[in-house]
Amino acid sequence: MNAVAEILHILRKDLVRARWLLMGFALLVSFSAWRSAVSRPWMPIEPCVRDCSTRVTTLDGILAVVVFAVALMVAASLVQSDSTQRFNSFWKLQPVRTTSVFGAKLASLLLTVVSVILLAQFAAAWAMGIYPSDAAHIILAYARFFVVCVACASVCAAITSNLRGFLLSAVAILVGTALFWIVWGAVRGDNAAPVPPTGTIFAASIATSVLLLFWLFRIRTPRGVARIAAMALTFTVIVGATYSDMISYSVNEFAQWGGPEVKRGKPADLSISAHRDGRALTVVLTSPAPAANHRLLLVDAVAQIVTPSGRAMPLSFTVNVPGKNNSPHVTKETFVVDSAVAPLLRAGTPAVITSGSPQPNFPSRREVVAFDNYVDAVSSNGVKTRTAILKLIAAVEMPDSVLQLLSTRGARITVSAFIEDQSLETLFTLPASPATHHLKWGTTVSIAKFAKPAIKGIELEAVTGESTRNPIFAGVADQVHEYEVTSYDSTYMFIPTVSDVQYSLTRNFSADTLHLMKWQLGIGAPAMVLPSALFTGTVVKLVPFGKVSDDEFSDWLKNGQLVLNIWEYSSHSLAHAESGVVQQNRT
Amino acid sequence: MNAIVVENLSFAFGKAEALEDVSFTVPEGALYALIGPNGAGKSTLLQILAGLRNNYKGRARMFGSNCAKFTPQDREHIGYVAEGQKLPDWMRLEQLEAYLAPWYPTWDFSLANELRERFALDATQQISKFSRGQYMKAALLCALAPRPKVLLMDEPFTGMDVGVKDELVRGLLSASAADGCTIVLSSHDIAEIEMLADHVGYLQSGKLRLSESMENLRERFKHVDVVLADDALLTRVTPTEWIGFERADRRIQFVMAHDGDDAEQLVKTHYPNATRVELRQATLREFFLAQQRTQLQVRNSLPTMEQAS
Repeated sequence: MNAVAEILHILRKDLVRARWLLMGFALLVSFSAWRSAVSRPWMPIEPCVRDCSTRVTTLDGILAVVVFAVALMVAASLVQSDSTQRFNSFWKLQPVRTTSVFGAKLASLLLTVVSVILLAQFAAAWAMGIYPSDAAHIILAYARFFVVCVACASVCAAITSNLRGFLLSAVAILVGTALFWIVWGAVRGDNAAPVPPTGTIFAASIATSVLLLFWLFRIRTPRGVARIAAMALTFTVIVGATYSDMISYSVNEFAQWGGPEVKRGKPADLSISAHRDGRALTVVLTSPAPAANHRLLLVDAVAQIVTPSGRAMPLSFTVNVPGKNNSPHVTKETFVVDSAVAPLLRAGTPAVITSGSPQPNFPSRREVVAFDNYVDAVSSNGVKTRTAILKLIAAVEMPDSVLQLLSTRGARITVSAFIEDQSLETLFTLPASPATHHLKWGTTVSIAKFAKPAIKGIELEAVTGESTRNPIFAGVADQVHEYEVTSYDSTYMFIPTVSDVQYSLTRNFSADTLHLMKWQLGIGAPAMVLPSALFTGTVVKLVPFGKVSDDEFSDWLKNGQLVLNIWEYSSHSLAHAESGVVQQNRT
Repeated sequence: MNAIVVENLSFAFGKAEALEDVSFTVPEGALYALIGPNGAGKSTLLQILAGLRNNYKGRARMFGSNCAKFTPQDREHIGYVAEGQKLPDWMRLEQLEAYLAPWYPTWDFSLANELRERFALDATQQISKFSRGQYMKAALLCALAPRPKVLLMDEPFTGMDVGVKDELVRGLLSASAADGCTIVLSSHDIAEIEMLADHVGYLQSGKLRLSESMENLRERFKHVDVVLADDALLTRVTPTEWIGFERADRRIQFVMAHDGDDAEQLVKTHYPNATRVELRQATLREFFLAQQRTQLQVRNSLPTMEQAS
């Protein structure tokens, strides 16, 4: 037999041997996923709903732990079915390559334990209505964490001969890890060392565990020193995994918190240059363009002037977006840019850097330099943003204190910020006529009416109603009533009122778009329709940006369709940029 | 040609020496019996030969291959059956055969069928439900069906009734005769070994005291039965090759190792007052018991014949 045939031969044997165990495991995982799907609704739109956590029962919590523990025990059982510890294990007497036994173990772990868990996660995500992009992200993060755990469990199984030994070694490693962190915390205090990228730790963890497992099979009967070395390396892997932010949560656990809050993306490649021109400081922030249909937000930016001697002065980095700017490619009229969008995505949007904190009245807005390298590609159902390089340039007049510091030899500007990556998702489209559209997460959205000039626009009505079949919606309705629809914690339910939703009318035949904006908001009171069933209505009035003639708008309504796009959180990363020495321009 | 060559082999469990400077050879096609008291190192030696233990000193080679570094191709030609060996007992016998057959290019399906019938094993029965005898028969079937060049057996007869033993012995003999399979067997069942073996090795406290053909052994070791006229020479110093003394009144029985034809003369010279001297070839059992008895006397610090004198 060749190596592949050998692996398949052993794999088949392992699957037949563990068939009842695997069936039981699959049932347990399915039950857990089913409970997640029916008992914890997933709110598909950010922001997350923390109140959902109250709906997690003790059983769900226990079930999540049990599923995880059983998965690791199934992994151990698969590895120990061809034990390395018994010197006279049956496989050691057969003419089989150790690499084949190792390969079969890896294959069985991936085919059974890992795939069963991940399939259940996908099923639960699908049942909960999680956006595929979110589901993929969560599940991949969870898979990464889970695979490392399975790999470490496999190593523990390989250095023990039975389940009892495996449990003892696993507990020993976990207790050791906990003790390590207690001691580490006492020694280091708050001076946490920098965390290497999760991907690096994941790759190192997997490589270490898999090579360790291979080595344990290769030496056939690991004893004494080999076992201690394997334990020590596994301990190191677990410490590394817990040190990074690799610990991730299953879809079920995410559901109880409402949404994926922290997804670390690829580090943003932010660069900065700065120069002086008299009293004006010009700062240029540059970032690579986001991917198509993505935008980057600069969040919590902290700008500083830093001198070589270590002196630093904060610069208040604020973005000022005037009410009107041109967006010639769409409306040929003024186009309001959401302030959150401005810094990087909409390069060319006026912005300002001021010194001091806070400094809203710094009189330098007229010094702002705007760039126009921003291009929108219009599509039938939304806006695709593609830019080669995104730049934000701000020039400010500096007060004396800043000037003095900047005059110091070797002064630089540093900017640290979180870069949030968002992707544009089309929520749904409606024909531009009074019609009804049903959304899957319990909200019905319809075009209520077309308003007449002079307040021309579209009235969009969202109605949420749910019966006792899913009690979460009753809670949501109460919440909406209590906090009003514009509050951050409740907007997820009423699509038309979510601040990140963009409205537009599109015309397929001409492939162009008319951007709309919210003009008016109305909230209906919760009403009892059936016992314990509530519904709440919300009306949003949408009007076009800028000046659109009645005829033109009527034409849009006749031939267009309403598109609701939403900026979906994709990931974020921490960016830090440092300019060269700030030079004085010679004019 | 020698199938197995062992040179200066030593093995220790921690600080406890299990084998000490063991050297012997097994000719191809021989049926080599390893005998010795419990804890002598027989099982360890067989495990080393099977490639199950590799941290030993010295050399152990099977058909030229280092036993510590058997390749899968080497293992295709080795069968190993041991007391306490675990088969994958969740399988049915037919499943086990189907699992094993692809590993061995020489797997003989007709031989497997024949052995199954001879051993009266039910192929559809789960191995965990086999009796002890059936379990060992199944292990033997799996070891013989690939027609190995070397079959290593560690205490295969332990706890078996006479009928089962007979089946196993016949199975072994037919395997040995048919293919020239080299068999190394350890057992406490001296009677069975005597019937089977053509070579024998005696291990004691990890040392190989003797390794030779049964023919030589029988030629060399004599069972001596002496009746003395009086007590005068009863405790006389005897040569060290005379072992396993037993006395009853004025009658002495022992086993002597002697190569020449003058053994009887030697005994008579040593015991001139003997009224009767009878010599015959020692059986393996007598040889084994004599060795055991001598060892026991040493261990218990009982006076040997020499010391007593």
